[in-house]
Amino acid sequence: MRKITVCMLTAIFALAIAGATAVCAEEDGKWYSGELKVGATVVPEKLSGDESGAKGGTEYNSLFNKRWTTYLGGNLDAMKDGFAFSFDGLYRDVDEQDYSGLVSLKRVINFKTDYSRFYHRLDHDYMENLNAHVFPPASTGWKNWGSSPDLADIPGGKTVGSANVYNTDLDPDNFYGIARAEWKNKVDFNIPMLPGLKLSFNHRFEERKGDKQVMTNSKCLACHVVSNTQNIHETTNDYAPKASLRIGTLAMEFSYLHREFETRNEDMSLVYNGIKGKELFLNRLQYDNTTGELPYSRTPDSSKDSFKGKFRWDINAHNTFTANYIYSQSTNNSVDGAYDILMGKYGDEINLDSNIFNAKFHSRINRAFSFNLFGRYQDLDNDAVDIEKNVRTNPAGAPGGAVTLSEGYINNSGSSYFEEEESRPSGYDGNAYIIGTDLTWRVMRGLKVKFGYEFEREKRDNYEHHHVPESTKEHKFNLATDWRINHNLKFDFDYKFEYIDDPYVLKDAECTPDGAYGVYSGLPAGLYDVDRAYAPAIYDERTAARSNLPDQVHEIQLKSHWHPLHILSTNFHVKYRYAKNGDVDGRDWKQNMVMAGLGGILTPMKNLVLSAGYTYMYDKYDSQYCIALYDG
Amino acid sequence: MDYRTEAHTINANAEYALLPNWSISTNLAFTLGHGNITDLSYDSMYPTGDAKLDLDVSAVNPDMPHLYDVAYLNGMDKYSDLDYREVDFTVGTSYRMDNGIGLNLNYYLYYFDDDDPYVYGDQGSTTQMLMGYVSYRF
Repeated sequence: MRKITVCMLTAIFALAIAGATAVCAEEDGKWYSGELKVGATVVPEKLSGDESGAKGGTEYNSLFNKRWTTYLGGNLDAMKDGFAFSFDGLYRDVDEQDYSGLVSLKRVINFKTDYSRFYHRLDHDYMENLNAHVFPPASTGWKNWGSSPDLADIPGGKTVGSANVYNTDLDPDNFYGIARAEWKNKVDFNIPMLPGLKLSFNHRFEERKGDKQVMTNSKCLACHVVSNTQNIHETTNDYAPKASLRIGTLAMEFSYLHREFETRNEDMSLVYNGIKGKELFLNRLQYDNTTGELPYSRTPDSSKDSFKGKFRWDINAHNTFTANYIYSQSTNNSVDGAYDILMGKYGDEINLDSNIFNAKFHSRINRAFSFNLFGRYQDLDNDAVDIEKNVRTNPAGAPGGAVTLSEGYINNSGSSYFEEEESRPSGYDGNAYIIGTDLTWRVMRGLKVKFGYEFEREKRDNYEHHHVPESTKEHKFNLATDWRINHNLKFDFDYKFEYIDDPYVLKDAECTPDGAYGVYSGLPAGLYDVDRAYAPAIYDERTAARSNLPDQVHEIQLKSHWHPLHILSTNFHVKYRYAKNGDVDGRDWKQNMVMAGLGGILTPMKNLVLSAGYTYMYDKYDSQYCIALYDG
Repeated sequence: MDYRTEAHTINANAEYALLPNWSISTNLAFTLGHGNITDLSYDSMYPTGDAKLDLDVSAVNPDMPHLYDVAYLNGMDKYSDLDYREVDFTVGTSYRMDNGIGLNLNYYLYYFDDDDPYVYGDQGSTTQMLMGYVSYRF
């Protein structure tokens, strides 16, 4: 494949040069130009497999996988009699290619194409943080927690395994990466008889191919994480016709987008609860486990249709009105067939519908004052997902009856659980609107002051189901100055304040509102009762609200540009952000962020340019974590 | 608890035309990054009366008198520590002859030193690359 590609590219370059040279020989004057580049790249030491996630300039570069690679590039520009042709290309490896081309016919028809392909080296998670388990050494293949005592010395070592968090990497030696290719084409038609009309058609093709590490829970759910390698092959096709029309002071544009996302990814599946002799776990799984392997890491095919209309009216030299409307529908195409355990709803598609309307009025009152008024409305309507799950019930006699723990666990008969269908409404459902204004005042020559205010309200339909606020109101204030003292010195100052009423928080997210320990006293001894599961003992103990979003934000920024000498240019910037959320239980959430930098460009001689810069970044978050500690 | 990240970045660049048709350029970028959790600590809290969790293992490890104690998780904050240095260095030269033929040579050095590897293993690497090509303008 690689040799074929190199040969084809060489042939294209050679033909382009030969053709252009031949035509040039027939004509006086040079109407074309170009450049051909031939060379090679050598890497003294290739990256090895265990450096799959290597950083430092190698994350997006496949050349480090090979010792020698080709360097073949070139460009050609030609223009004659209203016909223009342009090509630029570079081939360095199968996964390192860039090409662009342009053909124009008297500017009536313009065709532009771009292709690029690169490799993204992905990490391999060795899951070392999932080893907090205590198993006897006889359980080969499972690592012991490093700081645990030597279990061989513990009496009854087989029974101490109460803290069971562990992992299984089914492909520990693999390394991962995805090659991403994108091909964009655009053709424009400018109708000579209708000078204000322009028709265009865009097409975009994207492909992702390679291997990535995927994970799933296992028989013990979140306490046992299993990973494996999945072969990835995903494609996206966008088709987008567009029409633009300008009549006098009116301009409008209508466009349509159809997107198809298709996957040919490897089907991943895993046999859950595969331990022989431990079938008693079967009745505690929520999935149907009667058919053996169960799927995981499946990505649904999807499509999107979007319509956009834009409108602009230049009312006069001082006033302009613009507006646009966007309707889009995204569809999950993998759920309208037979039942799929991972995709939730079946027999019907899942759609996400959205309407967006934007409008803006700009007015320049005089040389000193101008202002904008703007607004935005958006609504989202997402289908609910229906989920089937197994619900365990108490066997006859429980709770509090004569069913012992052993009897309850061993009871795997169908009568001990039933299938329940749950409808999960979307957290996206709702609407939001924004209204705002900004005013610019030119105080004097070189000094501008801007003031802005924006109000946003977001309303959520299914807030009760998702334990979040019904609505969020945001007030945003902005004050900025742009001061050019003279030709050599300029300052920009910007201050923003945001006040958010009922910021997005997750209610009942963690322990208790005062941050105290929630101590679970343990299971009732002796008798089986399914209702003593996590819900009453763990989840219902979480009553405090938490968030990592602020209810107040202060942000201040200063920039300067100074040219002390004609050979020296300097710049300085500093930004400070303080955000906090006091609308959560327990300790307030806070953020302190500082970013500062300075730089300069020195040109001591005509043929020498020196530049240098320094940037400092400090970001600190103050959060409260209430970590649940599970025992077995 | 607090989570803090801090980064210093320095970059320098020089371009020099030795002759009208011969130029050299170099670029150096250095980044020093840190990240860590502070003030995360658990008071000792262990189950009592549980035959498994409260097992006396002091004979094996005097620092762990109980098999299971929340205080054993102190030190967990180290898992989130970041400490890395990154250097990107490039130097190159370009020479063009009167007949349209040009020579280009570039050297690249990428250095990443990961002093606190954890979940993804040691991501440190040192890689070099030499790229050269002949060009012809027409």
